[in-house]
Amino acid sequence: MSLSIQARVIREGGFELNVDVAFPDREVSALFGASGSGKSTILRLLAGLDHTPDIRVSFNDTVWQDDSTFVPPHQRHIGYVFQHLNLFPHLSVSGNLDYAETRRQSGGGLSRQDLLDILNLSSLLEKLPRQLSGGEQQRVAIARALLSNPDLIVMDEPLGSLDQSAKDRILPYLQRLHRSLEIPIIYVSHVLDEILYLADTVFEIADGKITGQSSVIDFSVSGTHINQQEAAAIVSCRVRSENEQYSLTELQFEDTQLLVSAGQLTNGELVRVKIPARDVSLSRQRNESSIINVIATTIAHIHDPGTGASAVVKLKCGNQFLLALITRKSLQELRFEIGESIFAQIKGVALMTQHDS
Amino acid sequence: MTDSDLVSLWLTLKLAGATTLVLIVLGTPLAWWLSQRSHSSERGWLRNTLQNIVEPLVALPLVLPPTVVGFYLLLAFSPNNLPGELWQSATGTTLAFSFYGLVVGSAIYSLPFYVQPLQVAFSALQRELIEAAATLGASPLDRFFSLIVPLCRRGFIIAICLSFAHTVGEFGIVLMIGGNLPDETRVLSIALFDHVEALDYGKAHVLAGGLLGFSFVTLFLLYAVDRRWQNGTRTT
Repeated sequence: MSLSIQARVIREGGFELNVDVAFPDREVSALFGASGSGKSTILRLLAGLDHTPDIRVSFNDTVWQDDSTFVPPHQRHIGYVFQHLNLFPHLSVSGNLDYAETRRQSGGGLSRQDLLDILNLSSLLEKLPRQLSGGEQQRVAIARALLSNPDLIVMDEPLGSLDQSAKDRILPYLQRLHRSLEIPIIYVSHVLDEILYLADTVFEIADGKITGQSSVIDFSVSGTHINQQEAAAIVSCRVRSENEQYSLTELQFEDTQLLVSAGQLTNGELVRVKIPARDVSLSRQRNESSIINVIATTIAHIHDPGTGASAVVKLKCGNQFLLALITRKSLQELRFEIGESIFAQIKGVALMTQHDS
Repeated sequence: MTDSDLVSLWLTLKLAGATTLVLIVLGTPLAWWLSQRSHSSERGWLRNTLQNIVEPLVALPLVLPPTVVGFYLLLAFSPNNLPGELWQSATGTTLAFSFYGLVVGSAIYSLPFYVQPLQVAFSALQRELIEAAATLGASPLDRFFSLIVPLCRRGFIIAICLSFAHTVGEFGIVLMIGGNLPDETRVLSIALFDHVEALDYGKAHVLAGGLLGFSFVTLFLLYAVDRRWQNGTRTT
């Protein structure tokens, strides 16, 4: 494993962090948990920004910290993207990028031009940070972090100080970056949507402890967060063919098909698809309907919180699962039962990432 | 202006320049150290306690009569006491009533004027900016010159101007530890005192008016620079 941390830290006020994590290589590992659960603390320890005794951090056979070693942050080659906007205010965008580029300690990685293209920064170079919007500043901060050609990227709620529209615009950039990089990314967030969008592996953290580690596919359909409005199932599909007449692409999902409106996919390619729970409704018959994706599933679990308006039904299809957010009223009236066969009508299918494997 | 006044003018500028240089070299790290309060009460206890003692010590010259500081310095400079003895064995001269003695005295007396504005500027620095620079590969010294100095330039300018101007305006300490030696310790404020004592008001006017003008112009420029930077280029 490339990056690992063992830490038992007790802070004033009684907060205790007790973790022993090894992060996978070449993947986006997400740390998901509520504010104050210890996510940022872990990142700061990884980067050496906090020098707390009695912890062990190692990366690719190099010990960054143990009882006798402490590699200072400027020698760890970490690209760190902070939650708060922190471009150097006295330097232009160009100057901020230069600051990183002149201090890079090895060649390779993404070039300045690559980053300007991917993050769409070329028109901002002469501006000062205070002349930029929050989203633009954070894109520059990401480019700056990557321009130092890091061996590892950590992002601490990088979208946390942005409004929703800026977040929506920046997420695709992050995904494109992920596909262009071959280094591990540790991504910290308490926002389910970001985790589902970006993560490969999810580490759940609560009260300073890692409470779960799973692939994003498993994570998306289990745990307490499936009751959130933005809950969605992430499923893996294989591209089969394109239907040019309707501009639709057919995806093989377990032993059935899904049609999505995405082009430029290669036959046989594995893709990840996000199916929001609120876009799935349930029906006992296969109705005539405008909804094109209707698939046969079995009810695996019914998650009725007992209060509020909605409940979540977990549906099994082959070896994968979907979620359906339905009203508790329908749940009572239709008397769904675990093990029952049911049709899932899927209104929204969003293509997420392409994968090489 | 008489020739002897010109000598005093040159001596004053030399003293203020040397004092400011000494303060830049010694006062800057002191201001930085004072600005770094430890937030962890266990490990930072010793450091915070030391800071709690040093901080008022630095500010003492603001409230003490210069004669008090001068009196103790005079004692310290005496070859019978350790600092004076060390100086004498190293240089063969005495510190008291010498230009170097004045530099030491002025540096101590102007210390708060240099350290306090800088300490305020350092404390106001956004910690995340420095951390970002560290993760981008900048060593501590690199971070200081590439980031902290430009971000705190306002604090530096205020600190340098105030300590220079304050040294130019010094009187009490100079009289105590420097006396009134032409070409060695007779700075402008002493020369002015001489003219007044001799009832030579014409010459006194030249020096007093000159010092008044210099001090006003310095402060005027300082406030102007300060206003400009607050309105624009600085954002943190």
